[in-house]
Parts: sequence; C-alpha cells; structure tokens
Amino acid sequence: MPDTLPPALARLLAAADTGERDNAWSGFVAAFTDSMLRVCRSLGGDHDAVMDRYAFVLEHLEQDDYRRLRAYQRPDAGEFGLWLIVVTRRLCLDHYRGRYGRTRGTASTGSDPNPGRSSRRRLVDLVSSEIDPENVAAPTGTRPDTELALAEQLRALAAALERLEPRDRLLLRLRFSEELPAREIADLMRFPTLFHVYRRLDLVLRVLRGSLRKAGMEGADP
Amino acid sequence: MTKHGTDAPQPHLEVHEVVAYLEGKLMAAARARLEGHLSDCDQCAAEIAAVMRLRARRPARFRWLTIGTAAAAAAIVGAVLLGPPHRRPVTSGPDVERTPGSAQVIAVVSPAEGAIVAGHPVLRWQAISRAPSYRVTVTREDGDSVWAVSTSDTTVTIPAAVALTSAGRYYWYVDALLPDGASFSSGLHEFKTAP
Repeated sequence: MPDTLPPALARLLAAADTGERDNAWSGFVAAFTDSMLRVCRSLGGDHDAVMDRYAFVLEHLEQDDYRRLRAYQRPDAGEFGLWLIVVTRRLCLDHYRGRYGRTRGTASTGSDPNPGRSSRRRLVDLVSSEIDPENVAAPTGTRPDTELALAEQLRALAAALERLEPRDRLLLRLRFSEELPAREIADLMRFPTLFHVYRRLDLVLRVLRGSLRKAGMEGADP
Repeated sequence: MTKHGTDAPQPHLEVHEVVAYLEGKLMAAARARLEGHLSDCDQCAAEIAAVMRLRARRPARFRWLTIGTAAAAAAIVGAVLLGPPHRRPVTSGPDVERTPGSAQVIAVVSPAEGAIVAGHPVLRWQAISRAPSYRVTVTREDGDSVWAVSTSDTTVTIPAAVALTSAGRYYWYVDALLPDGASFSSGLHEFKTAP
C-alpha cells in the first residue's frame, strides 16, 4: 500500500456503512473533479460528450465497491493524482470503444497478428518524411520503376529502424509521432539535458540516412 | 503488463507501470523493458505522451483514429513523389508546442551550421511575412541561456557585453509568433567560438 492515501480516498475506502460511504464518495468527487474533468475534456467533443464521459468515469469508479480505486492500494502505486489521470483516461477510452467500437488500425484490435510490426511500419512512414526522402528518391513521376524504388527505400528504412535500439525507436516515436517537446522527452527518458535529446535524435537520423546510403540510395546525405 | 480497457487482447502497460515510468521510479532493467514495449506499441506510447500533457496541463493532442498503414503509406508515397507538405529540421527546435498547420520553419542564413566564428557572431535568418517580431535566444551547451532579444529585424549581432568563452559551443534559435497564433521556429542551430 502507498505510504499515505489521499484523505478523501482513505475516508472512502474505510467507510463502514452506506451513509458514510455516500458522504465519502461525495467528498472524493469534490476533491478530484477538476482532475477527472480535465482528462475527460482532453479527449475532445462538446460539453455533452464530455459530461457523458465524466458520468461514465464516475459510474465505473464507484462500481463493485470502488474496485478500481481499491486497486491503488499497492506499494508501487505512485502518486495518486497521476494514477487517477491514467485510470480516468483509460475509462474514457473504454467509453469511446463501448459507443463506437474499435477503429481499424488501432494497435490493439486483435485483428493484427503482429501489432509491433504494424507499429514499426507507421514509424517508418513518419521517419521517412523526417529524413527527407525526396532526396533519396528519384521523383520522376509514378512510373512503376519509381514506385519500385520507393518501396525499396521504405523497406531499407524499415530494416534500419529494426536494427535500432528500442530506446532510439522510442525516442523517434515520442518526438515525431507524439510530438513531445524535447524537454519532456529528456525528463521522461532520463536524458541529462534537452540538448542530449537533440544530439541523440541527430545521431539516430544520421544512422538511418547512412543505412539508406549503404542500401544504395543516392543522395541520402546527412 | 495487461490490456488497455476491457477487451484489448494485446498486453499493454499496467497503470502502475505507466505511473512509475512517468515518475522516473523504475530501476534500469524495468525501465529498459518498458521502453522496449513503448518503442513498438502505439497505444502505450500515446498514453504516456497524453498523460505527460495532462500532467503538464497542456492542450491535448488526441487522435481517436490511429492512422492506418495504407493511409500512412499513401501519405509517404505522396510526400516522396510530390514533396512533403512541410518538414521540420533534423534538430527540431526549442520546446514550442506544434499544432497542425503551424509547424513552420524559419530558415537560418548564417552562421552556417556548426561554423567556427571569431568574436561575436551576426545571426541572420529569412523573414517570415506578417511576423511582427522575432525572439532570438542563444544558449550554452548545457542549455543555460546566454542572451535573448526581441527584434523586428532579421539580423542581430550578439553584443560584446555577452561573454562567449573561446572554443565554446553555443546553440541559438529564432521564434516568431504571428497575430493569428501561428508559430514559427528555426529549430536549434549551433556555432562554435574560435579557440
């Protein structure tokens, strides 16, 4: 269990009877409404959509004698505010999926037998625009040989990405796919400074360009 | 690791793992294992980034739809054949939150990237139409700001009063914010001072 539970949560989980529990639940909601609403709003939609989501979150947090909130009681649970943001966001995603179903292309549809591979394919697409693919292509139109060359380049890039350390692939993903600021990437990935992030990115992109050059792609100058 | 939501079959990070990673509390081995998963999992990487934004109280950048492979492939084919709609520099710039349509680049004229300069260099960049002013920042290698100035010009000279150490490495960038909220940035550029 965490060293200390937030008072509103401690009171809720310790409540002995229905009346006490109802009061404690009201107190909990009052204490954390701002945080939960912020998450609900972050997922877009108009006021009604946000409030639908919020109601869904509250309903599911309350469910089964606060089963989800009780799950916080573990030694490595971390800071409650952050934990609640993650849980709330996941419930919001459940709400969306319950309403609209899963979307094609979502990593966890289960229809994709290898989500890691399709995820890397998307990274190939993102990174290829970053390393200036028109310099390595011969854009002379849509002739079959041009398309073939493009396919070769993407294959070479995919192979180069595959050879990167997972940490470097994550760096590329956070920067170019999630567009996190370098300062936050530095915090998250424990780089000493944001300049270490820039330098590492530069190095990784140079490695990728070098791989393309080795694969016979002319003009892939770093 | 577990699944996201209630019906996802693929293993994803547990809530406490996400929190521990964000709090920087994982031991090296656990961190490496999680980063290995995050490097290949769109969903968990997106979750980490989203929670980072929420924690920092920054605007969300949420996509309900993950770009399908076919659509992404079509986009890259278009980018290769026709040229990309816009490109960021390799060393993307300071921490300016980029929004679609505003990720535009200020082209730097001089000094050349990584050039060794004598004395206090003149920094030049290309004008952005409608930009009322620019903000120029020069930092040391460790990220500490050495000098910053706002100007309506596209050239500034680092004043002699600013102490630049010899054989030092410095970074500089230019930002512009337009009245309509669009932002421009040069990205990070480097120059070195002569020994």
